[in-house]
Amino acid sequence: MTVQTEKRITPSVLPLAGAVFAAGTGILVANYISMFYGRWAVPPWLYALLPLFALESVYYSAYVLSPRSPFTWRVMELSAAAALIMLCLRLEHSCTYPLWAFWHYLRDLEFLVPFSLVLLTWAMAGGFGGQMARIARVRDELGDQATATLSCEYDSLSMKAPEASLPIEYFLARLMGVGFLLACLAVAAQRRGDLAGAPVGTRLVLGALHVLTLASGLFLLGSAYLHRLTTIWFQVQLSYPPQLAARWLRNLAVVCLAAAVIVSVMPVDFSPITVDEIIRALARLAARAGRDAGLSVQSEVPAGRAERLPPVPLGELEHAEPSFWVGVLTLLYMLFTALFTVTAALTFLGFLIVAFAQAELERIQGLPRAAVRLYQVVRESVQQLSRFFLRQLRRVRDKAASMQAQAVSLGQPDGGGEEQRRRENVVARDIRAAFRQLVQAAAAAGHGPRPGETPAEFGRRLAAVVPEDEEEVSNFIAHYHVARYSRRGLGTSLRQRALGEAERIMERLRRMRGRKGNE
Amino acid sequence: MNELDVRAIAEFGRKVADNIGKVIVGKRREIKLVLTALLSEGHILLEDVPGVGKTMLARSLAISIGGSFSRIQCTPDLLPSDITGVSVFNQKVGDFVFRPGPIMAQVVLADEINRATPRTQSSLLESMGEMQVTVDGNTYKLEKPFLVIATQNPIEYEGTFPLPEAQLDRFFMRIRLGYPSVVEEKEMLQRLQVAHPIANLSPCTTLNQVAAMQQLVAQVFVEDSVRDYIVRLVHASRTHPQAQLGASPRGSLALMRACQACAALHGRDFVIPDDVKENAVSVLAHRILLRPEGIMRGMTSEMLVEELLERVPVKAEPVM
Repeated sequence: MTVQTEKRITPSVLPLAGAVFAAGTGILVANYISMFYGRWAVPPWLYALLPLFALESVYYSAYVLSPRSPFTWRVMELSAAAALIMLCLRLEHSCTYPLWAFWHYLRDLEFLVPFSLVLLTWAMAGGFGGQMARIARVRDELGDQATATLSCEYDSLSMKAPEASLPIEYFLARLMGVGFLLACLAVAAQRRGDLAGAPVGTRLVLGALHVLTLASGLFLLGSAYLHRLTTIWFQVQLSYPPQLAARWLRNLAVVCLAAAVIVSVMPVDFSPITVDEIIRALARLAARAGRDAGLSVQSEVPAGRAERLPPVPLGELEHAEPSFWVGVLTLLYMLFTALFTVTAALTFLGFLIVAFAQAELERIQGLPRAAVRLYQVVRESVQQLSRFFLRQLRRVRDKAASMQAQAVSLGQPDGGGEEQRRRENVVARDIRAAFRQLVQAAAAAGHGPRPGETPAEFGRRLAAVVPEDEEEVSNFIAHYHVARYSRRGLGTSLRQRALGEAERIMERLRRMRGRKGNE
Repeated sequence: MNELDVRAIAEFGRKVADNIGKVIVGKRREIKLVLTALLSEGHILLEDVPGVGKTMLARSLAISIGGSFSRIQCTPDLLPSDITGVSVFNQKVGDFVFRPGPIMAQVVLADEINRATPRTQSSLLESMGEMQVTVDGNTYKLEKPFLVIATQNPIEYEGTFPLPEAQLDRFFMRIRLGYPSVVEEKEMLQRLQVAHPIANLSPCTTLNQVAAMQQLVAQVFVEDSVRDYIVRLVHASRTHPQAQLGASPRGSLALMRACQACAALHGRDFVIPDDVKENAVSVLAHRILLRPEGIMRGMTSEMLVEELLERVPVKAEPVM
């Protein structure tokens, strides 16, 4: 280890790469939207606004914004973006309050589409800036203590909050997400024939934008990684080859070039699912749901079914008096749909806030806070559900193993060495299944295991609950220890004894539970 | 390793513990921990107030295993050569002759180790880690079994040189003896009324047997889930918000070795999670450095390990 002068990749180009990546994504999405839906065509001035706000957001987040900056600053930036878009659109409002005017224009697609694109670009660039600031903070945190030990890098990783992700993971996730989104859009454009019908210039511009976005994304990811690495190495005064940065940049250029060639050459018309098909499927679902609820609207019936279902004229429908229960069902359906839509929208908003504004979570209030909470609840519920299904799956597997063990013990009393070992393994699994059942029975009786409890501790607590079976419990746990933790398995007689003990304890627990229920 | 071997280790542990018990009243758990360290070829840091029997424990252990015993009273003016030995000029022979220091014994008691200067402490370090001493360019191997029992007083810190983390990490376990209970202290007075029982203590085993037991203990089976539990426990100590420095990989290795010895002393040829729980505090606590805010809240590293033992799931079976 030798002390050396600071010779590292300059981090000032990182925000620029972030801005290019975010703006490239925004411009590409804008292009595809214009291609798919002619009436949502974005105005040309937006192509200038997107890089402008991307640059502003990334540099502001990287160099000015800190965890102590008030959240209001970000809101003010967004307001400035909204005002600029309104100015460019030459929209006028007759409302007294600007906020009310904003709300009024939010419903206007002419305003909403450009604003959403600016928001997407701005938020993505802001996130990149925030992560770059985090990399710089790692350097500050390391400081002098880094010179003492090499393990500081490990500490800096291990001491991070459980929810927080590393900057590198953050960049990688965005790069992959954007790549997937752009690939979907490109495939959809190809399948719709929009690209084939477009002039050569448009196609060339789109291709160049794809390459630029991909290259800037790769450059951002790689440079951020190298920057973090060299920062830490420099802090711990570890000598690293001075030509590392140059060599690394050369490799990155090769990767970018290869990726660009692959993306340009690859046929994209392979996806069986397109945006159109998804929209058609959703429309079919909506039409079916509407029909089930007793409402039949002519415009929603697919062309293929129009012959079988005679259309009801809308005029008649308005005057028709639906029955009471149909009305109630329709109302419930509408309520459910509205609730589901609001929950989904809030969850998505919560996800966006968690993803983009991690450092500022504690400061947000009101609706964004509720959205974050909702997102966390939904995430937790999904995790619990998946755990539940995994448990059920494991239970089924154990039952199958138990049945197999019984079949083996009945069918073949004596076997060779290999067979004996296989049987011993099956027996061990059998005892373990019995232990699991015992744990479940104890949990049902209100004496389930605690998080850090060992089987022996659980057994001692269980013995206190069923003092009549104290000996059985301690014997069973001793047998379980041999089956679970030792190299040799249990013999057949011991296994039968242990299973009998487990059955007796479970029976006692079931009786105890029944008595409790009767009381 | 067969059942006879396991029984032999358990019997060995019982015999030595009973022999030490003739001198040290009560303290069965602490004696068992000392035996665990001996069988795992580790060194012990005894941290407690003066007069609770630290020296007696070391001496009675040395006598019980039939090994040599030496004591180093650490003071600020103690030199490394006072520990390792020195070469003196023998006029009769006309050459330098090596006179071994107190480290050349089977059981070495380094009393109040934190009173020695860092230079002297580090000379002890080589002996503990490498099982050898180097004097005037010559390296002398230390005889097996070799056990260093260092003591330090946790109350008095004036004029002391606290052991650095690197040196603390080399101690296999830290044991606190604690005061005896009223009944135990009364029995101790009765035993010591006429003469000290250590004068009549005789060896109950041989050094060869101890070395054989040490080899057998390494063969105790550790199942993968128990190994996983040990690693998760050690990793949790590194990510605990109150820990500035968690236990090292050497800590996880020490914990596994301690569990093997503990299982063997219980007459088992396999380790169970309870062995981990039994030894975790003694093996891990002294390797953990707390953050200042944790210390100000009255937290100790022992409390931290106990909290981890409560929190980190054992995962005996997936349903747990």
